[in-house]
Amino acid sequence: MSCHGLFDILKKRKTDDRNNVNLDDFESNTGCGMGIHCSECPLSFRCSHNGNKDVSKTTKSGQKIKKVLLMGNPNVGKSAIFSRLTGLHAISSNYPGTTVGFLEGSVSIDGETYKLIDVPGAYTLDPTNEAEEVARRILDEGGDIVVIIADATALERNLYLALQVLEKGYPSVLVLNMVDEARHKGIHIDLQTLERELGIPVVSTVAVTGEGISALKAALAKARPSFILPMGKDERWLLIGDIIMRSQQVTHRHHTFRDRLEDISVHPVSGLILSLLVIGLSFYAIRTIGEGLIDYVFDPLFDRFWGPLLASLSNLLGGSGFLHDILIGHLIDGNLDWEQSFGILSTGLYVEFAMVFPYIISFYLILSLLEDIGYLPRLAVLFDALLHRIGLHGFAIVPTLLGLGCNVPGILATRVLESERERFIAATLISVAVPCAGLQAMIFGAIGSFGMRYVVVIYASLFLVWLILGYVLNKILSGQSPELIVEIPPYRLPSFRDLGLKLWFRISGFLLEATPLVLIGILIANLVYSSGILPLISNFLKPAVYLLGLPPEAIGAILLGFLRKDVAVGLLLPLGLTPQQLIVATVVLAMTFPCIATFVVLFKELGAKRLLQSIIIMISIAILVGITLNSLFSLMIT
Amino acid sequence: MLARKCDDQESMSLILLPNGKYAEIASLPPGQCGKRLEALGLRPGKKIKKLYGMPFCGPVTIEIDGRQAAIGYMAASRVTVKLVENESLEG
Repeated sequence: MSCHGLFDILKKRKTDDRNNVNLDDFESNTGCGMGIHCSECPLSFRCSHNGNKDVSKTTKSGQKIKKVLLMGNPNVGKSAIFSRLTGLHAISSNYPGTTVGFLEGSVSIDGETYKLIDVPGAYTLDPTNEAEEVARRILDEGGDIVVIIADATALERNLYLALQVLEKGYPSVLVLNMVDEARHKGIHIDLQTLERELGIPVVSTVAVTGEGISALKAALAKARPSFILPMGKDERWLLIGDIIMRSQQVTHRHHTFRDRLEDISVHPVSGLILSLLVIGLSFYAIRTIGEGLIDYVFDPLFDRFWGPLLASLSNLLGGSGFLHDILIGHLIDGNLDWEQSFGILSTGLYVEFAMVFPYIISFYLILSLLEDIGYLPRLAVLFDALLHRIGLHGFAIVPTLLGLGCNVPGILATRVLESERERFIAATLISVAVPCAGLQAMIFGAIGSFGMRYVVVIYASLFLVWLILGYVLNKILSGQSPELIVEIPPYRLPSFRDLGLKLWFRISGFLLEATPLVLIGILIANLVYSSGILPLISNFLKPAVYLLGLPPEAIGAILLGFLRKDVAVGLLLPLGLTPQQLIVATVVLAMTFPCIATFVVLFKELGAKRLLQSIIIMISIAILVGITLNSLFSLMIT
Repeated sequence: MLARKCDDQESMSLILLPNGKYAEIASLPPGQCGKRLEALGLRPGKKIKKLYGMPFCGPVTIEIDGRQAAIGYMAASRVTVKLVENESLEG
């Protein structure tokens, strides 16, 4: 069937009603400041919460601001185009579902101001998941222009959403992104034909290099409604087949090295071997880079520059006293000890900058690299069968890996999972058994010095709990988890500009959020120790002390893990615990009550009731595992 | 209807399609699951290539529209396909 016969009827379609959008309504629901810290998100996530009310409807000259929606299938480069147009950074990765909330930014072109909204990826306007529901809602709220972004390598499938949007009658522009990749695959799309078939301007871009972005800017002014009328699903596919036949040519090409690599990566045997290699190498790289940064950058900085400065300050303060103890801490044999003095300016800064921060840099460097290459969806395929046993599907590997950096983005990323049941299981498992990079850095830095076998025991305990708890939750929670249904993007060479920006965005977020909490944690610890409250509460802690085999101070440290878990490990170090006690304390610390940032995001994602259930699970598991480990160790000693 | 069915090539579950074989989608499961499969471009008549079936009831990977997609075991078992002899995805 061809649509040309419909042309005349379609031309009569009135579209004026689309141009009077009530911006007030929209902003009161969704107003958000891109690039402005959102008070609801603990980790500076540029998000879809109400952070910013100052988006005005008109410019100074009284001109109306045009609202532009960037829409398209998942992983077609919407966020990359958003970044290119606005100059603001939206996190983009090579897997579907990076943007679940939505982002706003504005851009001025030829005196016209546009407010851009990066809408979450959707395959269809009949929502099949949360991201598609959000996309649908934003479109229904209206916009002045819709920029439909399509992946030029999969035009056929991308046209489905495009037609659905065009049927609504918004003035639109179609962007064919990733034309370089399409050319490489032997796909040739004739832009003029496509423009004629759809009745809207079409531009081609390569968002990662910026190719075609100026053409897109110019095309915004030419956006117009299409002549395409609402139709049924089968009709739509027929029309798509027709459009593809007229506008696209595919020439045969030989298999490349990349094709072969993509094939190997999902092969049941070679894929598994490759994944073990990738995971092993990533782990090795994270450690080597992290340790290198500590040994050659951060330790020398502290020893050569900060140390002498603090020593003079210590002299100035008279070497002891309340203020001295809070700021510098206790001198050990007349000297500062970075790990044990425990002042805000000594241990406080050292724990954050010389022990944790280097690993944050190396972790996010490697993770971002894997994300942009497009390896994570392959892991989802390989681990799907395992994850099914614990009530999740393969894609849950993505939030889990993000959780190894910081639980907060990990839990936010559980939104890519389809059902509430899955999100609850995934979020609980991340909070219980996935240690964040800060905690891991301390585990390696502090406990690793006693011997790597202790580190292995900690990781093995966490992994076992992850498996068993997941298995049990899957059995006792009603319902079933949905199936993995995901497209696997082609491997891409990362753009170093985007990689650098993403890394910067993540580590600066860490610094902004973690610094105050670390310093407050050290301050509270100092106040508690010097005020003499601890002996009073230690009676209250006696059962825990007895069951876990830890001194009351260690329990106090674990409780302070509510602020930051890395600081809590730091508090354990000066206590002179045995390696076995350190293992028990660290495992309990990792599993029990989440840190404050995770707590907030769990509350937002799960709601109060589910949060409560989740926390009861965390505390009981932590105590159970702590007791088990403690009894095992005492058995081994006797 | 019955008579036509006899003329038809036999359709089978995507799980049973051998690795590396080309096939045409015969039917998708109803409901949400079918919708999500449609979003990946699957629909009756569409030609695909099965890449691999993962062991232990893992997902099936297929090639569709020049790219890979993964479909969980239970979903894949409810997708029926007809084997095609012409070994290419064009046309």
